Amino acid sequence: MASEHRAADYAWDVGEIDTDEMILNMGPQHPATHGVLRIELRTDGEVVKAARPHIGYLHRCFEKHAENVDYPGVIPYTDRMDYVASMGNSLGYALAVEKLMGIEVSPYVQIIRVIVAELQRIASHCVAVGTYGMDIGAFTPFLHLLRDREKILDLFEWTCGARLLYNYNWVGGVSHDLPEGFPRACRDFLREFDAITFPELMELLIGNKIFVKRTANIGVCPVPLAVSFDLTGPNLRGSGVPRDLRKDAPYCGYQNYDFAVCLGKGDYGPTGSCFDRNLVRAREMAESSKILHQAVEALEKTEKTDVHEKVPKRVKPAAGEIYFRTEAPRGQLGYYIVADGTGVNPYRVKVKSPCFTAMSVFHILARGMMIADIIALIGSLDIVLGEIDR
Amino acid sequence: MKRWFTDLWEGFWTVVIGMKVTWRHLFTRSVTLQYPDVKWQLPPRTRMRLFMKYEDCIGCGQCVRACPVSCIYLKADKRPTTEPAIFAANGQPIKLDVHVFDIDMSLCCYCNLCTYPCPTDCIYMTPEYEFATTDLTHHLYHFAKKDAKFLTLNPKAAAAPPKPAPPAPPAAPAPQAPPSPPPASPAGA
Amino acid sequence: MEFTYGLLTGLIPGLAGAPSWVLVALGGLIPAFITFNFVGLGPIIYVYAERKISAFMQDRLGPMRVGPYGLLQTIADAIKLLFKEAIFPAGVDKLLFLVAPIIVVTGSFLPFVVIPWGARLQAVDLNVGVFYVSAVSSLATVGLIMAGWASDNKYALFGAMRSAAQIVSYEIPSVMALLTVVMMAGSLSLQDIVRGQAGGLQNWYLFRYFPLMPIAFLTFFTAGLAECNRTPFDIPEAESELVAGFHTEYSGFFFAMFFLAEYTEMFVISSVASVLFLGGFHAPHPSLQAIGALGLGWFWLLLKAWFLIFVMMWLRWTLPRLRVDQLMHVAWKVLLPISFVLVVVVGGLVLKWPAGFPWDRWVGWPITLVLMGFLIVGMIRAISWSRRRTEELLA
Repeated sequence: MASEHRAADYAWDVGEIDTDEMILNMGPQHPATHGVLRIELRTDGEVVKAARPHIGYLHRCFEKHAENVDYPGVIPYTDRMDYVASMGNSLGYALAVEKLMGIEVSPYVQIIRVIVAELQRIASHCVAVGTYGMDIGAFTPFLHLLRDREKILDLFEWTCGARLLYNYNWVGGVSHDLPEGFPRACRDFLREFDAITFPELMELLIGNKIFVKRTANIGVCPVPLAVSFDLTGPNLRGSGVPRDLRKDAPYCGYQNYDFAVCLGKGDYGPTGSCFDRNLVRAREMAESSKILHQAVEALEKTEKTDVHEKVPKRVKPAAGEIYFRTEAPRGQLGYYIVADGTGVNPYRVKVKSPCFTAMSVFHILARGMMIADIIALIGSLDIVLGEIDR
Repeated sequence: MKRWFTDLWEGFWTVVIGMKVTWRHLFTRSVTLQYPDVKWQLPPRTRMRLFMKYEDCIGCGQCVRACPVSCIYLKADKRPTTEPAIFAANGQPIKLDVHVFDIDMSLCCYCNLCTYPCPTDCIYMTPEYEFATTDLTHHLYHFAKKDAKFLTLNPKAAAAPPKPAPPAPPAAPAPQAPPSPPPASPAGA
Repeated sequence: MEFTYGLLTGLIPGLAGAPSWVLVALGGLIPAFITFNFVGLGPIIYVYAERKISAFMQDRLGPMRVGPYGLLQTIADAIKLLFKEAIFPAGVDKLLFLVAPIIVVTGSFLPFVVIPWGARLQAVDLNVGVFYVSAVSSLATVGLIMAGWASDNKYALFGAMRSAAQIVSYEIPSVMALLTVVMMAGSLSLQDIVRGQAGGLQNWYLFRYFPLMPIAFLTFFTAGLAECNRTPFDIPEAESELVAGFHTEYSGFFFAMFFLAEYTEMFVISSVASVLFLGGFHAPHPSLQAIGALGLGWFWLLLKAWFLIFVMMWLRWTLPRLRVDQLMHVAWKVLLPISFVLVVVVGGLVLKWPAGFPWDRWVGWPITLVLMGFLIVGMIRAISWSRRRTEELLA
């Protein structure tokens, strides 16, 4: 499965370009690049010959900070990596450290974690699909989806006090128990989401012929390419590969829930196009809603335990290392934690970021596209620069 | 050829369906809060500006150790034993003189980790979020007060045996009636 | 023009003796002046309407601070643009740079002299009215290319070229669609076209030859959308695309002029469509004609044009953008064949049934009532859902 790396794709000098070609810079400040990302394009007229993304504008030395704070103190830092979906980040880290220390949380806490993670998945996909529509030119679905995201953030604010960066999933539990009346509020939100927001999204954006025509034939990522560049999450499922860590390597009680893995089927064009990836994200919102209904029911039936009961006074794991992966909204988020057994700070925390690997396939998919489609391609990979740069 | 017709029809029909959605939304209520006139009701657990009640701080430094961004600065010295005993509101004796307790809100990441280890619950997050300033140094809050009024009587004394009096002869106890000896024990605490 | 002439000589008795060119000038200039003012104040309303309509469609409020409910927002924006510094980049061609916005604005205002606002309320009743309208609306293209070229900016030039290509390609289906109406009316004069639609909604050209004229209307409207650079055809001014369009280098007042020209162009397309397809200044039912000041009918034409402007805004906030090559595909491979076929077929049908199919009279009211029914039912359901939801949330 050799991929077609060509030096001319991403290592060129100005002196090498032909007289017809032009180097165009989509600079770090650009309304459509989902963060501070610089893309250098070598184009022949309107068609892109080669693309070179430059990252690192948002690098904040997460892994170095993690060596200097204690294990619970790393959690606010993990929140800030993928700031659009921070419950997923802290969940992955907390599960990793718990596995390292051999802590098992109660089923009640597991259900809370699943509820919060799935709500965050819906919120994250709202941003992804909404901003994608906005890049394509449809301004209205973005605002409708953000309205629903605000409702989810209201639920989170009610639970733990913060709207975007929560510090919620702790090693051994969660920071606050769900407040009284949370199941009712959550069901209220889901009712409106299922009945109105989701069908309207499908009608207004996903089903629209212009949207389909813009996205269904570009950015086609065939399965060998996707696998060799380690695409995960909706990007991989958009190409038709049924890999979902919640089903393949369940954690946190996901095996108890009944949901389907959404795949891109190439309804309007080749499988693995931008449209397929986006469709997978939209459908995953409906699947998350299904999981949430089941989880809220299970929550009401499960015996309540103290959410702080398994939280250790001092998190001091014995010497060891662990790599733990979870299915974040953007793909497979992995934490590699090395504990040296002395002191309360981790020795090393390395994060495998799903957006970083998604970005690595960009220069191959961008070849042969038109400039207007580059923006559609970036949006379909759903990158958040905070996670790429950490 | 047939594709041309189906494309045309689908284009027209999906446009009409999209228009139906936006037409409906034209008449639904807007969700905007007009901010300075109408403010969002913050829930009880909300995490905004930090506050520290200096009279309850025992100077243990747990919050400083818990903070991931090192935004709390603490300088404390042992209180001389000649001074009268002071207590926090939950009964803990305050053994340290806290000279400096600064919180730099411009560094604070609002993670709330400092409030959990505090033994006296003197540091907590308030719902105050409208504290923008034009000068960054105004975000450095100094909580150490020169003339703080500490509690000199242990508020939890009724529930627990009274603490042993300092070496100086106590001025307080009046001559007790012999039938009811004071229930003090030398090692009581 | 004759109307004004008669009015003036009636009011100022001495005027009848003036040399004829004075009378012609006055008879033409005064209505033109009134028309241009009336049209020029339009964008103030349209910009505010666009912002409010887009806000309500997106569940938000739009401008609310400047004036009650934000009514003075456009005026504030206009004043701001007037006071902004007009920046001239170093390499621009001064003359073209300054003249381009003027040409674009002129090109968008000129069609209004022939739009009939009433039976005698028309600046000039040219007997080649339709021809004049299509000729003059192409003037804006020249201005666009001048703006792109004069900007000395590679991306502005790209944007201008794309925009010019788009406008020119969509002229053809637009004019062909107009031709079908001309064939039915038998005259290029706009007054004659409106006269042919007298008598009420069922006589409007929109409903003749039943499936065919609605298709012609849709073709004209779509082509008109493209000429105004409105979504879904707004690649030239797309904010999130790479190149910012032909008006990148313009700031302050000149930018305001391009903006003005865009909204005026929208009004042009809507007015022309209303005059040709929707009955002009005739009311849907003759008994309603008296509504509107002086019963002269301009109220009805304005209402129809405003409705079509609303539809343009509605489409803008619903649809994503078409890519440039897809836009060209729609123009040359979809709208052009349709319009050619329409011209040929309607041309043939006019020989046999000059006024339309026999069943056309029965089609107008049912269709209109059904469409209005959908809209009103949708509105009622939305309002009642929204009210119920607000009560639920407050509970």
